Amino acid sequence: MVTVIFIAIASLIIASAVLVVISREIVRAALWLIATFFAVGALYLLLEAEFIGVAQVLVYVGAVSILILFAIMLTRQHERHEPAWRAGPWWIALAGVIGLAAVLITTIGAVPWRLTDDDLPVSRAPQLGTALMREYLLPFQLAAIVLLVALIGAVVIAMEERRRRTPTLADDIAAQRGAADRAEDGTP
Amino acid sequence: MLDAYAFIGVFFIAALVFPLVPLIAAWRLRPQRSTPIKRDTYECGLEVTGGTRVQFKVQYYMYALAFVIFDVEVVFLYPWAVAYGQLGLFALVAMSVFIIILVFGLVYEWKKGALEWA
Amino acid sequence: MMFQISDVPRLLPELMLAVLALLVLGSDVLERWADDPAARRERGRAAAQLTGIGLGLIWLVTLVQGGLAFTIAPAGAAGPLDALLSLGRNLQAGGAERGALLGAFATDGITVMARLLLIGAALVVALLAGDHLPDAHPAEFFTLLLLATLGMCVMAAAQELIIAFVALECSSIALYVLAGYSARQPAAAEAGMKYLLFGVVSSAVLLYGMSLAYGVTASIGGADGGPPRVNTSFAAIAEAVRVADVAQRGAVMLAVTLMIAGVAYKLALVPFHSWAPDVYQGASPTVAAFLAAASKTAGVFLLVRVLTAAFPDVAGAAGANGFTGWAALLALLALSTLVLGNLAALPQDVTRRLLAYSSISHAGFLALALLPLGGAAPLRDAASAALLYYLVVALIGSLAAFGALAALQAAGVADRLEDLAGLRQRNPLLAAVLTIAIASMAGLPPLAGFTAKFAVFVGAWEAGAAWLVVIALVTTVIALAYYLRVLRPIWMQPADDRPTVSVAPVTAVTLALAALALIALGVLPGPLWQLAQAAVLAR
Repeated sequence: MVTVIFIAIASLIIASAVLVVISREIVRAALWLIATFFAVGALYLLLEAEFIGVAQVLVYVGAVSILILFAIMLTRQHERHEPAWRAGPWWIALAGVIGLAAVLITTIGAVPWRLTDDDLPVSRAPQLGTALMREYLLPFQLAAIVLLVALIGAVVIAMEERRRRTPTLADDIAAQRGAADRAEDGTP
Repeated sequence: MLDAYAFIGVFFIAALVFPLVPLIAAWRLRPQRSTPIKRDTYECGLEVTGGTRVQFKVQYYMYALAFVIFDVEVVFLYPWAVAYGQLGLFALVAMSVFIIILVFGLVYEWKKGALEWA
Repeated sequence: MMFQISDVPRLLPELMLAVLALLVLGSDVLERWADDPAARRERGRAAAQLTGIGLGLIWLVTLVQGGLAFTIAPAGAAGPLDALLSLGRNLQAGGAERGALLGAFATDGITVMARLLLIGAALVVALLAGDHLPDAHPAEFFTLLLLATLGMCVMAAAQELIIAFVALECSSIALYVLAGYSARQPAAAEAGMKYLLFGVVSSAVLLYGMSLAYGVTASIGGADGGPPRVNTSFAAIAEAVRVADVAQRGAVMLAVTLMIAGVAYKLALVPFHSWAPDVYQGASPTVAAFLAAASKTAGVFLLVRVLTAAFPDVAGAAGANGFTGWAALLALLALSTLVLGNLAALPQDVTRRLLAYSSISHAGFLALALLPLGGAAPLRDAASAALLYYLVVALIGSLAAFGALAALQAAGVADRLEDLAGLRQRNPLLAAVLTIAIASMAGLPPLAGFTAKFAVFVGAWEAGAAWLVVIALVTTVIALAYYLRVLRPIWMQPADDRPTVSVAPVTAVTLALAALALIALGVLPGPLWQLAQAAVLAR
């Protein structure tokens, strides 16, 4: 039963991933990418990694996909056109992919993977939380910095520096001086 | 484990079938007489003007990005909150540092005017 | 394994970098700047100066805390400097080595050395950037520079897969943005885009290798048969690899291959180099200097950490006694990089592009220097010291060379070789700095580059890779040809009516100091050599 579900999910992942690559319309490619994310989330559920599965749906399907779609909407519209460059004949790419896949499958297939921990608790979120606060404290804090870097980077790339409407300190001082001068002159 | 998800699987399949059945039925049953006006995009009954793709304002992206970042924060918060009982004060400090860094990012975006719509 | 308050000093330079970054950014966005050009210039200079002063302070703290160069004597007679000395003593007391922090972050001599190099490089770039303030968002430029440096420092100290990857991403994302800064210029936008695309692919490859390494480790378990507690730590991986069977070793080798390939992109090793010339040419010259100096150094440190801490048992050899393990992989990469990098540099006409190819060929030397790190202890320690020595010299050399080009560009000199004509008359200082940096890169005897190359050759020769050393020697001679092509217009061609070149005082002092360092380290290699050895032994 598990095998059947796995094959169903895996073929869904592969099919949607292939469609991402071959779609001519970029919006369609983005939608197929969301389907891929979703199917990967299902795979996590099959692996009984519930929290990761939910996080996958929350972050990738819920948020990253929005980001991708907005990024597409931001671009100026170009009519569908062929890419200006060609990365050489397709059969070289195909041969490379098949060769890589052969290496990966033979090497990974030869390993006797040992699956341990049959009696894991249903929810592993507490363990994750403990690990985040103990062994993985440093990468956890660094992740906040990475998110900050991403935020700053997006602002730098996407934002035009706008004219400030807030008055500067010099304006304040000038205004105060002006008020003081007017007070001395006795004019309202 | 799988049994618990059998329900969700059934619901998922039902959710897929439910819209597909009427669509297929309509496609099989309807008379196939097409005219240019029928094939036109429906835009509240008015005549269609312009393309479907318009260029969005950059602010949409800024909001989406802020959303992603705080979404990721929530994902980190959940296991932390579940395990909080075993962790104590130190976890509070650690998570505060994490959140303060992100809030700094929010303040930065705000002050920079990235969240202004005008 | 909990984080203790007493562990905070061990992270002091990184924490200071993070705080400084927030300060630079906060002081810009919370200030109410006017909008005229003068205010805008002032705003950029404020960020540059705050960054420069802060980085200088952090560098000093790192130097004192690391205690590699000197240790402060215990409290003696009260003198006028006593307050300062006791501050230094307290700093050094916090920098002791007690094993990796949380099993993830080593604070040994190599980390200290890496911090000094990377923070020093950031400092030089911040000083040079005064001439190249971006048109918009100046504070963000320096914030990203600082956060990239932070990521690199953590990367160089990583003892665990996840922190290594997060740190790599921290520095990479910041560098993608920096490479594409001033995106109004198409060349910069193209540079940023290319760097981003190649970078994310390499990150994915690296991550795939890491996940394989993690999977094999978890599958094998600890020495007692059970699963190790932190599967992602390099120590756990090394322990698992030691007892792995043939099939598992195959998967481990695949993981190592993918991880080396992922980092090789960042190092611009051939065949993963194609982004480098375009990015170095298109990005702002100070960013190019930072990429060539700091980014490359950090990548080498990451490889050192991963290969020596996690995979010492699949090191193999690349010489008479076999051609196996990651040593063989590095030997192949070094071979292709040395040959192709140097040959491709020959026909270049654009100075920065030529130096980019020269920087690629230097990465080949770095691969050559990494190769003996899998050997036995005395040999490995000598080779590690040679690698550190080479890293210091290469970092200073690329900062001097790219910094001189940045100064030239700030003065409005175009980017082709013939534009350097008569530079000895137009600006003797820049001519001297460029000449010294290039002669050091070429490995000419009185300069530091010669000693560094020599040390690397000895290490690789003793590790049995004599054939590779011979090829490297030949390519060094070939390299002379294109280095001379840069020097020829500077010294042999008349200036004609080309205008003189003026340089800002800060830039001039920085570049002159870098060039002097190259001479000093070449004439007196002893102190740096001892420092490198102390760093290797302070585990």
